Amino acid sequence: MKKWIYSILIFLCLIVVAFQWKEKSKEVVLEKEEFCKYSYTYNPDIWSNLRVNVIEFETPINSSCGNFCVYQDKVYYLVDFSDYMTNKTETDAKEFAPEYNTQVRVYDSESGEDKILYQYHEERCINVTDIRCNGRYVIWEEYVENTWNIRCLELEILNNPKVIVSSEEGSGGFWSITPNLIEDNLYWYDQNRNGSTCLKQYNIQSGKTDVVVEECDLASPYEHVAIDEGIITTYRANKIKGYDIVSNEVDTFKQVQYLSCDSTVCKPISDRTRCIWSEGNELQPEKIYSYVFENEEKEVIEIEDLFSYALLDQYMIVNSYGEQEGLYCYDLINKQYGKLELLDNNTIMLFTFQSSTGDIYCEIVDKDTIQQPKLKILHVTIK
Amino acid sequence: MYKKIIGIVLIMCIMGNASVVNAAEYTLTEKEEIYKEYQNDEQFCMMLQEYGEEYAEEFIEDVLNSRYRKMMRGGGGNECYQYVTNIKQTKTYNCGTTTALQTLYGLGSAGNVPGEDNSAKISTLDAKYNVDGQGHLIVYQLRNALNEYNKGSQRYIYEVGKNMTINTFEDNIARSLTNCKPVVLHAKTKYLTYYGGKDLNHYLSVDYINRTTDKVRIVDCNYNPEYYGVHIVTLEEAYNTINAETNRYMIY
Repeated sequence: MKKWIYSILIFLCLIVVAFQWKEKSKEVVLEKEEFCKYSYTYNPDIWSNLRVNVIEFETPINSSCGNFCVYQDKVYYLVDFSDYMTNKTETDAKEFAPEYNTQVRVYDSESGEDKILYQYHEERCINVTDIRCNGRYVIWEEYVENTWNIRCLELEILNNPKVIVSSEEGSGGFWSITPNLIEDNLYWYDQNRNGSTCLKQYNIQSGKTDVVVEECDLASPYEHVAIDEGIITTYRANKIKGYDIVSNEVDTFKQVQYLSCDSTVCKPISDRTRCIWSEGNELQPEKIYSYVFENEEKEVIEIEDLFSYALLDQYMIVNSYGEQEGLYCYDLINKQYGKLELLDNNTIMLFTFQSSTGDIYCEIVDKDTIQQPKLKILHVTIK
Repeated sequence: MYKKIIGIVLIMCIMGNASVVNAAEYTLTEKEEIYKEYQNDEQFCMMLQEYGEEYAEEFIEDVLNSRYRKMMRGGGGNECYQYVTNIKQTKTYNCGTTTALQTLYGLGSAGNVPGEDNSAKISTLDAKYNVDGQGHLIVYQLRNALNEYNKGSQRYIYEVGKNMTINTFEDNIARSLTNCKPVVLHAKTKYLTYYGGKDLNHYLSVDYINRTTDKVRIVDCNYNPEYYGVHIVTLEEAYNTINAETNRYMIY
């Protein structure tokens, strides 16, 4: 009888071990020399495969806006009047009034309607950044004295926005964070008690905060948490050589890819098909590496004066500065690329953000005109 | 207002004040031109209010000196540098005083700021310029701090970035560094790659330029300097931080 029980237990243990083995993805070792440089054909029509929309609207007079996000056809944005209030010239002294409180607004690009979602009730301008929206919640970061708080506004209720996460709650040494919002979860890089960088998750429903990745590396304290097609990607220095890129399912945190690279890795983004990352070398032309999980295609693309990049299905959207200034689309399957000719030369394209639905958006700044009070955004989606 | 400022200059000339030797190099018309250029400038107006007319007159002299020396400058290579010491901010809002201290290290004058260590020196500057009360250091105050604590003869001025071309910006950096003056940018960070779209008002040091590759070195006093302190960025990125929007300045 006992033998029979022991046999069952051993059998169960073997199943558990086998299951865990299967759960943890295979480590793929990648060497820099294995990556090929393919010849790309220039095709300006490549952008016709995508839906490209320029959203432009006026923001409140005397306000400044540098923080916005796009969710479907709506632009959620933060405006403050601190620059205007600081402008205390002899002829134009400004006293603070309630209407100069910081605002959270939404612009509907379909209807053209622009409205306030929330306005602070303070006696000074509150400094705010990093607004994100998932269709149900709008979150943003505010700075009050030496602390940062994440406020959350539920769109259906439009109640008083609650502070859901704060640096005062035993956070690490980061004085500012860069939150990302997917479904009901907020993600951000922070510091562990030992000072190392970790990835944290806060569930808006349960109010629970967890450290979901213990050890990460960042190229910048402002690095965005890369989430695309439900895959969250982090990276860390390998104890022996190079860097490891780890991709997890955002729902379960099941590991789906583990890439071990022999060289420097910076800002990796993965979807379910591929992972792209840069080398992070500020002195040389930037190299973007691409690895396709299924056929193990390894590719390297050289970009002069890279500003930012994003992954949109099979397309890589690259914002380049310098002589090659402009927004480029690389078709990583058909090996074609094209510059977006929609915009004139007197514009600056800024950081390529990725929305919670995977779209790409970036701010366009007109060089020769005073930017405010206007917000001009390029929104790119798959057709 | 200008007549008063010019009046002060004339009185100083008559009294034979030693500091007027330089002032006498410039004509009233030249000074008037600079005054007209700055008379509606936000920082100039605030500076005039706080420090008075004599101080504003000195500022005009400094601008003229800066431009005059530009013409007299000779030599110089494609790489100019005057390295600063990277220091971590002690509060989320004192990047101005920390960058001022970084710059004073570059000038070899940080010892003139009272305080046993960097933290104490930053506190001294914070208290002197009411940074806790204001929530930030104002551009003209930063310029004042650099001129007040610098033991050398170099003088700093500020100039609004919106009216500057990229070539002038490049020239100003090179000239300032050649004169051993690290540059300060009163920047908007969303124009810098490594800020990843984060939009903050921030002071940054520029202590190196390569005019062949059009790259500059930014020394950022933000926290965790061992990772994030020093960055090589394109000249254009640095330029955009002060030129793309209004009310941003270059202090050099």
